[in-house]
Amino acid sequence: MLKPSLPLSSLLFLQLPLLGVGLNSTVLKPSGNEDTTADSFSTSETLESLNISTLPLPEVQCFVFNGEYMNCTWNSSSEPQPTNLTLQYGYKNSDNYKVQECGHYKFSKEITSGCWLPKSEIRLYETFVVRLQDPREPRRQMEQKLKLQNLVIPWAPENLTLRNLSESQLELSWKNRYALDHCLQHLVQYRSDWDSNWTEQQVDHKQSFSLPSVDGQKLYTFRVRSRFNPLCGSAQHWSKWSHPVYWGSNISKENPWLFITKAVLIPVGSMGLIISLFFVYCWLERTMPRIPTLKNLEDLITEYHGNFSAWSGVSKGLAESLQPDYNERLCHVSEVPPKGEAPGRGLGTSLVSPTGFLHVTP
Amino acid sequence: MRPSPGNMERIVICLMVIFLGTMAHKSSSQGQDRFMIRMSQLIDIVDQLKNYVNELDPAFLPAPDDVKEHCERSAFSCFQKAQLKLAKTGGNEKIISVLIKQLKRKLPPSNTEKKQKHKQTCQSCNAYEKKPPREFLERMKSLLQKMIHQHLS
Repeated sequence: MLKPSLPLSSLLFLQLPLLGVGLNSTVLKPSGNEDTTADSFSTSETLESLNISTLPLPEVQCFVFNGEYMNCTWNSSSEPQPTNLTLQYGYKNSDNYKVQECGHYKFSKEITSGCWLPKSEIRLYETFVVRLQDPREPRRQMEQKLKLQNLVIPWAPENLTLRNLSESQLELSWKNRYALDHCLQHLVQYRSDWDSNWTEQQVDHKQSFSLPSVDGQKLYTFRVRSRFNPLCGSAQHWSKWSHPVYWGSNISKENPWLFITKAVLIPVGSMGLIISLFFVYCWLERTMPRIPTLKNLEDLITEYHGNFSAWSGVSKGLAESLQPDYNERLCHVSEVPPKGEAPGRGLGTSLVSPTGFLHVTP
Repeated sequence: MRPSPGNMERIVICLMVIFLGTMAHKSSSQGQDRFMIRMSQLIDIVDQLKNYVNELDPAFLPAPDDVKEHCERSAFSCFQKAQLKLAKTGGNEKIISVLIKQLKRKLPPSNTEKKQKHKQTCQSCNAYEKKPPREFLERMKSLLQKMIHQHLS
């Protein structure tokens, strides 16, 4: 009877190790840690480490300033908790590369936020490998491969100089602190005090710019910036603008609209006002009668034969219009004498017009 | 007074030396300009070809990168030898063919090669990683920029 029970018991024995493997795998899978203390990890702790290790690290941005030093920076405030991330770097040579720790960290609010590299550590034409790492969670790291020749930013141009090539032709020249002039291209901007916008011109590989015709009455402003492009690198970032340089006359600094106002509008306006006053005077002269002077009184008799309206200059129509065309009907009003007095004494008969005027006849 | 034959020979030799010296100096200074002009043209050709990259054969090509010191010319010849060609007819066949042909023209010597005294052992073209046309052109431009920077330094 033992024979049939043997396969059953062997099955039971087989299940035990399988159970053990299953338990181990549930502990090891999340952390992958074969340390003996892995068994003591609680579920919540393994979940927490899983979340941290999968949190993305900020991107590292590197720029080489004029070939003199390089700054690689990252956004340290993007971390959920303040973390001193570490940076390692190296150069790719064939298929492998050695990395070394940053020797000069930059800080922001006492947290690492960047790395400064000296000129001796910069090789423009080898692939630059930079690795950002969380020291608390070594598996949490991010690697970037950069082409430093595309990340060079030169210093702003200096010593801007203007000179006259001819009466109306101007030449602007400048100097760059980057040793190899031909590696740079430049952008020149200029405007006069009459212009609201800049005019720009790109200049490649040479450090001068000619303006064929300039107006001596205007004040010009020039400025330049440079870029490491395209012969030695493909950088997209321009340098800062140079200090501006000026050329021309200060006189024409006046606003052109103010000049137009002074030169045109005021004289035309004044003329218009004078002409309008003249027309008003003429109209008044025609419509308003002249006041006759005593000096010409004898002309009334000798020349105008007593015709007053002709002499005074009042038109016939005006004279007739001044004649009253109103006739009043007089109303007889008599006073009732008091008792004992004969009628007819006292003030006499009064006549009152409908307008209220009292005419008294004795 | 007639010069003797021996004196005549010396005079002729001196004149030839002066003449050759003048020519050598002129050619070296022109050679440097020619190199920069050619390199500048090549940068421009690569930039133009990048605009037509979708019309190129997508086959992977040897694209040297992180080239060892003094192996730049050898690596550039690998770019020139690569079979960069048209894939489909898109109306720009003529211009693309002209650009590819211009890429293969021989490079003038530069002053850095004259300074190099010993020959470097450089990788063969097949040893370099192969890349699609877009990255092939990017790496070619990167190598040209390195060579220009070395020439100007």
